[in-house]
Amino acid sequence: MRDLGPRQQRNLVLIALLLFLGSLLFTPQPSTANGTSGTASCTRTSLALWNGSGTSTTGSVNPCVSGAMLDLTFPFNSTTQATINGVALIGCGQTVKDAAGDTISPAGGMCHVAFNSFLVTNENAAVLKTNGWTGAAPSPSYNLSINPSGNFTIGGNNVLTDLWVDGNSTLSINDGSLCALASYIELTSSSSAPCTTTISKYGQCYQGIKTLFVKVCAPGMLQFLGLNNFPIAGMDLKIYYLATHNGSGGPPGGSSVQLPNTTITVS
Amino acid sequence: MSDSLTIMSETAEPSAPAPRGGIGRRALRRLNLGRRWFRAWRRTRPFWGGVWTILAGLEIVKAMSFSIGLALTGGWSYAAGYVMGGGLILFGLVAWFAPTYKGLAGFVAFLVALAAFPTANLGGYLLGSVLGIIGASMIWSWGPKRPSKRQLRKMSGTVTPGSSGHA
Amino acid sequence: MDERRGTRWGRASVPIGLGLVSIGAALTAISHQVVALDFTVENNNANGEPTRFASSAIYAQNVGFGMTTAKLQSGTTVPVLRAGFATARLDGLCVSRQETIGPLTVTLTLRSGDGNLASNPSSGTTWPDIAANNATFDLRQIRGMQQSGQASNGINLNGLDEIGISTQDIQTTPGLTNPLAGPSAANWVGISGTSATFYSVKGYLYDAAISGNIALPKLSITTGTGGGGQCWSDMTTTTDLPQ
Repeated sequence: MRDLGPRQQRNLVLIALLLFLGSLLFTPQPSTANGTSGTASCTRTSLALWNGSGTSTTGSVNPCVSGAMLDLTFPFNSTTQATINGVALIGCGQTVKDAAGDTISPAGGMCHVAFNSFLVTNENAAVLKTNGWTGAAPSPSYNLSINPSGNFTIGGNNVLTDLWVDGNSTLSINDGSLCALASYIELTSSSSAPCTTTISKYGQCYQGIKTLFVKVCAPGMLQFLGLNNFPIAGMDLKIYYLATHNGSGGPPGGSSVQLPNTTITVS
Repeated sequence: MSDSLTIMSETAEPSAPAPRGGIGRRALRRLNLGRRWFRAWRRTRPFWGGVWTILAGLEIVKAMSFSIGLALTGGWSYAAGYVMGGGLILFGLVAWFAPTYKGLAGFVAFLVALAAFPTANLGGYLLGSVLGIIGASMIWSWGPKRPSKRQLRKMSGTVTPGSSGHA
Repeated sequence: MDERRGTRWGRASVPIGLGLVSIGAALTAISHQVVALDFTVENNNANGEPTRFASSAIYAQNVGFGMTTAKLQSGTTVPVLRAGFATARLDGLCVSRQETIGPLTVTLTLRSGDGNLASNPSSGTTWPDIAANNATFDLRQIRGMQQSGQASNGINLNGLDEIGISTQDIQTTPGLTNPLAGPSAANWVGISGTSATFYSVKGYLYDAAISGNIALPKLSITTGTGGGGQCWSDMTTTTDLPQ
C-alpha cells in the first residue's frame, strides 16, 4: 500500500481542520432544563389568609395551584399525636382553579380551614403523599411521598397554617369531654374512630367539624373543658394548597416546616 | 520511503515456485510479509504518538457517558467531550496518514488535549488530557534521530568494547 | 543505511512538561480557589440505580421542589422531584456511581469537603465549605436526618412556605421564569420556601447541575472496582457523611 502523496496529505489535513473547526462552531448548546428558565402559563387564584381571630382574614396569596391532592394522614391512635391551638373554618364552597384553569371540585367541596400552632408529636406513621388529580385525563403517573418521623411541624408555635382541603377531610379529637358533648356539638362517633368530625358537613357554627371551632365560635369553651389546645388523635387531610404565615400574610419567624428523619420518595 | 519501496519490490517479484508444505507455510509467509510491512509502515510515521492520541480521544469520549461531569466553563460541557475527544482521534489519524504534516497535527492535538481539561470532565478525569499531551508531544517531536552507537559502529566498521545501541 | 526516526524525547519533554504543569495549576485552582465551575450529574445509563449523593448539610435560599419529568440517555422518561436553589452552601459533598467500562464495573466517586462540620453557620463557626449559585437536583429519593451530636435534624423550610403550588410557579433565582422547567399542565405539584436547611442528607440523583462560582476543597475523584467505594451503603446512618 502506498503512502498518500503530498497533495493528498495536504487535503487530508485541510479536511481534518475544517471538520474540527466546524464541530467547534456548530456544536449545539446543552438543552438540559436544569437551572435554565422556561415558559409558564399558569392560572392563579387569589386566596385570603386567616389573621388568627375569629374567621377574619388579612393578607392574601395568589398561587398557581397544581390541582394535585396531597393527603396528610396519620392513623387513629388512642394517644394524642398532634395539637392545634386554634382552628377556624373560614368557609366552604371555595373556588380554586388548577394550573390549567379548571375549577378543583373535590367530593366534599373545597373548604378553607386554618390552624394556629399546628404541632405533631411522637408520630412515626405520618405520610404526606399525592393521592388524587383534578382536571381532564390523562393524569400524570407519579407518586410523591413524604414520610417524616418523630415531632414534625407544618406551621409550628405561633404560626398560622391555612389549608384548602376536601370537605371530606377528618380530624379525630382525643378528648372524652368533647365526645361527651357530641349530642350538642354533633360530633360523629364510631368505635373505630371516636370523636371524628367531618369538615364542611354543615354550614353553621356548632355543627359538624365546626365543633373544633368551639374556641372560636364560643370563646372559653376550651377552658371550660380544661383543654389548652385540641388534642388530635388521628388525621386525614386532603390538601390542595397550604401556606404558613404570620397572620398578616407575611413570613413567620423560624422554621415553619420541620421534617426530622424524613424520606421523600418519587415513584 | 526506502522501506516501503523495499516492501513493494518484494511483493512485486515474480513469485518463486510455491513452497512445499501447502497452506500453512503460505500463511506463515504472508504473515511474515505483513509483519515486515507493518513494521516498515510504522517506522515511517509518528505511530506511537498517534496511538496515545487516539486512545486519549477515545477515553475522553467514553468519559462523557459517565454520569458525573465537571467543566470549568459554563454551558458547553454537554458536547465538549465529543468534540475534543473526536478531535484527538482525528489528528491522531492525520499523524498516521499524513506524516508530512506531523508538526501541525501534533500542535493542534496538544491544544485540544489541553482544552479538554476545563471543558470535558477534567479531560476525561485527567487520563485523557495527560495521554493526549504525551501523544501529541510525541507526534510533534517525531523525526530523524542521531544514529545509535550500534549504527555508528557498523558505519565505521569497528567494534568498541562496552558499547550498546538503542532504538 | 536506513535513517533512524522516532520520538525525540528531548524535544517532546518541553510540551509534555508545559502541559502537565498547566493541568497541575488548574487542579490547584479548583481545590483552593473559587473558580467558575459547572458540576453536572447526568444519568446516562438506564441500567442500575441512579447516582448516590451525600452531604452533611445544605443551606439554601429561594428554594423550590417540584414534580416534573426527566429524560434519561436511554430515552426513558421518568418522574423526578426537581429541587432548585438560587444559592446554596454545602457542608461536604459526595457523589458516586457505578459505571461499566467493557467487562469491568467500576465505582466512580467524587468527594469534596474541608473536613469540618459547620454545625451552625449563624454562630460564626466554620462556614460550609462549598458555595454555589443556581443549583438544581433531579431527585428520586432524599433523606434528611439528625446531625451527629447536634439538635439539627432533617429537612426544614423557613419563611412563607407553600405546599401544593404548580412546579411552573416556583421561583428560585430572581429573573428566571419557571426555573424548574415544570410542565405547563395541571397536577405537577410543588413546594416552595424562602430558605431551607437539610441536615445529614443522603439520596439518589438522576441529574444535577451546580453552576456559578464554586469551590471544591480537597476535591478527590477516585475509582474502585466491584461494589465498594460508593458515598454510602446504608441510607439511614449518619456516620459516613462528607464534611
